[in-house]
Amino acid sequence: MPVLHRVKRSLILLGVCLPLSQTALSSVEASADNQRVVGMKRLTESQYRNSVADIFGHSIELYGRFEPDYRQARLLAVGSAVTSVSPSGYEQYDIMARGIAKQVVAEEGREQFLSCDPLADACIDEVIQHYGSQLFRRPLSRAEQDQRVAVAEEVMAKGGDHYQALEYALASLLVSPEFLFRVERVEPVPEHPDEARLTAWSRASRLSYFLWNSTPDAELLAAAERGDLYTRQGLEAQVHRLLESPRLEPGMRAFFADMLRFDTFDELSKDAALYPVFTAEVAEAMQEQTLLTMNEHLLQENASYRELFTRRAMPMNRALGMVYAVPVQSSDDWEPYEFAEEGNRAGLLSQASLLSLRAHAGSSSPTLRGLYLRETFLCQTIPPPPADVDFTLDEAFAKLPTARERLLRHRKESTCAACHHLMDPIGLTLEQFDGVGMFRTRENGALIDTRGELDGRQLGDAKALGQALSEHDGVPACLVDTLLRYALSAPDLRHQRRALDSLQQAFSDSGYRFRDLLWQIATSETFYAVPESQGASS
Amino acid sequence: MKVKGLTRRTLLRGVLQGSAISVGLPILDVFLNGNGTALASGAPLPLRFGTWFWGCGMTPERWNPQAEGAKWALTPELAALERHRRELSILSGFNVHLDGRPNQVHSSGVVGTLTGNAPMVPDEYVTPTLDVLIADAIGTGTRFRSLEIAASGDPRHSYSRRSSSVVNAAEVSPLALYQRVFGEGFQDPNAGEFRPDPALMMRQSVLSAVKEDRQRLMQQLGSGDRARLDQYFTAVRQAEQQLDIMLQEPEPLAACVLPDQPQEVATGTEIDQVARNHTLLAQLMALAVACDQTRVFNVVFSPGASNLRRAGSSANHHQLTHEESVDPALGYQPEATYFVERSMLAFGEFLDILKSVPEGDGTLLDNCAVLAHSETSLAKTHDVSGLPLMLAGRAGGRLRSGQHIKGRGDPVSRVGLTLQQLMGVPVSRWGTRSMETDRALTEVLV
Repeated sequence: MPVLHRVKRSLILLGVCLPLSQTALSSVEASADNQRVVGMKRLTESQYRNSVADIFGHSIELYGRFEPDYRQARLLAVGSAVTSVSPSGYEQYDIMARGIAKQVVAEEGREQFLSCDPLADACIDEVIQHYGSQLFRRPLSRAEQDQRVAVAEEVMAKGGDHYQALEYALASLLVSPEFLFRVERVEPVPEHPDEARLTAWSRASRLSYFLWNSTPDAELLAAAERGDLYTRQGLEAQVHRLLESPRLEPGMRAFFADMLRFDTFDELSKDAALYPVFTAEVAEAMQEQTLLTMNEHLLQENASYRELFTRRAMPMNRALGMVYAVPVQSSDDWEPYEFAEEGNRAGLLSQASLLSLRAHAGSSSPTLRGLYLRETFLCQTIPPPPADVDFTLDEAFAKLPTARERLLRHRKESTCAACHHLMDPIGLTLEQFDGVGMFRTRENGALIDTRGELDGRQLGDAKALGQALSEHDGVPACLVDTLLRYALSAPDLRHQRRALDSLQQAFSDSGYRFRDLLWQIATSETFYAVPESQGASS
Repeated sequence: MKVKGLTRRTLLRGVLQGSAISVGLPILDVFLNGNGTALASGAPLPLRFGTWFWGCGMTPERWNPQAEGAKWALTPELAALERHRRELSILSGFNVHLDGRPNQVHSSGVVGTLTGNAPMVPDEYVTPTLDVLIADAIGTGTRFRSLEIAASGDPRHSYSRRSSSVVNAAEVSPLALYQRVFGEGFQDPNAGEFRPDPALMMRQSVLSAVKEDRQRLMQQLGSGDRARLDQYFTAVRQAEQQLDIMLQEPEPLAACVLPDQPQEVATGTEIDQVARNHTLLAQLMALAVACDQTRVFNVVFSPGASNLRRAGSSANHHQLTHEESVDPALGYQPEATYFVERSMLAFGEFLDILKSVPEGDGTLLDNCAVLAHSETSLAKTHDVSGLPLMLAGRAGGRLRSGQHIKGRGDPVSRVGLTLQQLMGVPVSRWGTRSMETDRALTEVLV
């Protein structure tokens, strides 16, 4: 089979993971009895997509719809550790699994996906091992391997050919809980059998889903197999490699989108008559602009996180040119743009994505914007309004032209004022941006007054808010908290207080460089620690 | 650790190569409904259960009828349901009892109604919702245990849940719903000739491998994650039952008419668009039920804290309920009320659609029990007392309709208990704390 032979060689050149050695298989087999599962995280939609693309290639198409991800403690990453699979969700995973497997064995896909001819001896076994170890992020156990071979045999007994046999065996890997969930296991430490540690495979997965939002690659799995992830030097070499990889950017994009709750863009609906500019294309571009800005600032330039709130440069495309009322040369691409120093926008908060996301379908909302800012960038919670509160505006208030005047009501009633003074004065500085983030100076004919306040600091306008945030100590502290919770899928960090403190210090020492923070977390003991409630004694 | 022995797989192995045959399968429980009645022609028609949800409640003075019993008079906000008044019962005055727990706005009402338990935190479902409990009893013999649709365009607008985080996501696109039900895998019960698809049996092999993965995983698992793996396994078992059903020759169903494939449509929150999509989704749902693809259906017209809006308006339904002043001359919030009336209009259309499918001597609606509900009474104050509830359909002659029943502050769990018993769920008490009840609404039972 010269053709297939060539394919196999090119797979090696591409760094595609080939079946792990037989020794690895048996060592896993031997230790499986001592292992315990300490965590199960359901792959998020983006993790599923990335993992499939990294394992099978980007040409694979996914048919089916994903079960919505579940948000807890402000993060989908946290929700992934508590959610499961509903019957309709499984139905969709099954459709996707069969769709992927079909493409892998289809005539036009064989050369790309298969390293041998399924009609040949042991080929089905080999392909199962090859893809199985990538999908399960560890070598398959003997039982798991045999089970898939049995699927293939049964399919042939039912009249299927060799390709169908392989197809269903692959599909059975793709709907397994071992693929749909990131299953984290601990084992006894060899030198101290009464202590537990994460298995090397679990360490590898944790690392790669944190930094790449995807499955470990061949090199990382090989490092896990060699035991490198247990040594300082070995671990640092891998973390360094992952941080330098082009896959870091799509990986961190998932974190930024999770932190900013961009998934809620799907629920966002704006009135077409009031905001004709807000189309699906514009909504998409708004998110992209923010993700590109964060990527540029935090990853490419490794600039201070604090300065993200005063940054005047942001990429622009033609769709957004309409929203920002700025000229855009290129018709279909992103181009750099920098707002003038005396302009009215600066920093992340003046971007249309955040301004649209927290506003109503037909109006802005100082309260929702203030709340979002407190929750997202300061990690603060504000209790919901009492259930029986009467929100009705008196006629006198309802007729007032600007939000500032209408919101005066919140200050007049003490039950409202207690919380609203934490939100409204922040949001009022952003009032020159309407419900989709377009600049305006008047509301209902009246001039908009953008004065406001943040934690005792008086603010003149949106740019002053950006400046205040960039100098606020709560802002970098909140990023560290959010990123560590994201990395650990932890609802809170009660058990990681000391680690959190030292990360905060390190982040500050580094000049608030995001890449340094990623390094600190990915090489910390905390990141690989056995969950508190699941210690060594079982 | 392969389990060998007499499985359906071994029975069927070799028999099928795509030829038209009738296989003598062992009778399985899954082919019987909760009452042991079969689907065969002439036998009782299947019993169905559905929910229909709209957000932000109503205006109590304009929605609740006065007179009790069969002689209730239509009220302004129920006017759109005039033609259905003999087919539905109005339940007023039933409460979610918070028992000192916080009123989780726009959540306590719906969670309390569907689980009989007031949530401690928003969207906390400590037990499966009513429809899931009923589907576990009557839905195991159909291809889909339940189907969910949301006219408001977001798959997350679904109150069908096995737990807080396990949500039966809603279909929002008529085309996607069509493809799921009538696309690949659909067997026309009236096709005449039955050809079991050999691919279905190959899929059974996949499931047996997955079940063993789960078994191994279970042995290594701490108690915390067991429940989650159980939920996964429940889903796998349902997939398995689905395959069993699809391998069985379907009974001919006179009521089953195949729809044409719909066009892709835009989704959104503008009220006219929502109403149009609701109609398209409901028509497909009615045929899915008539073709016995499911016996449990859940419809969300608008979510709790309804985000529906009128074109060109700066405030949506939810905002209006809080911000709009009560018109002193009218005595209510006219803009917010518009959405209540539109919701009732849509529910009327939904009942029309169920009625438009002839079944047996009557219509599909005659063999359904539909619970229409919302998360508040007056949304302005997030009131979870006096929730608006309606029961429509005759549940195959078991449900007495056309009445107004006053709850007088009784827990809403009485309604949930009644519906479960009506559908054959073996339950005598339901609900928690002061919502725990063993008192069914005998007034609606025949």
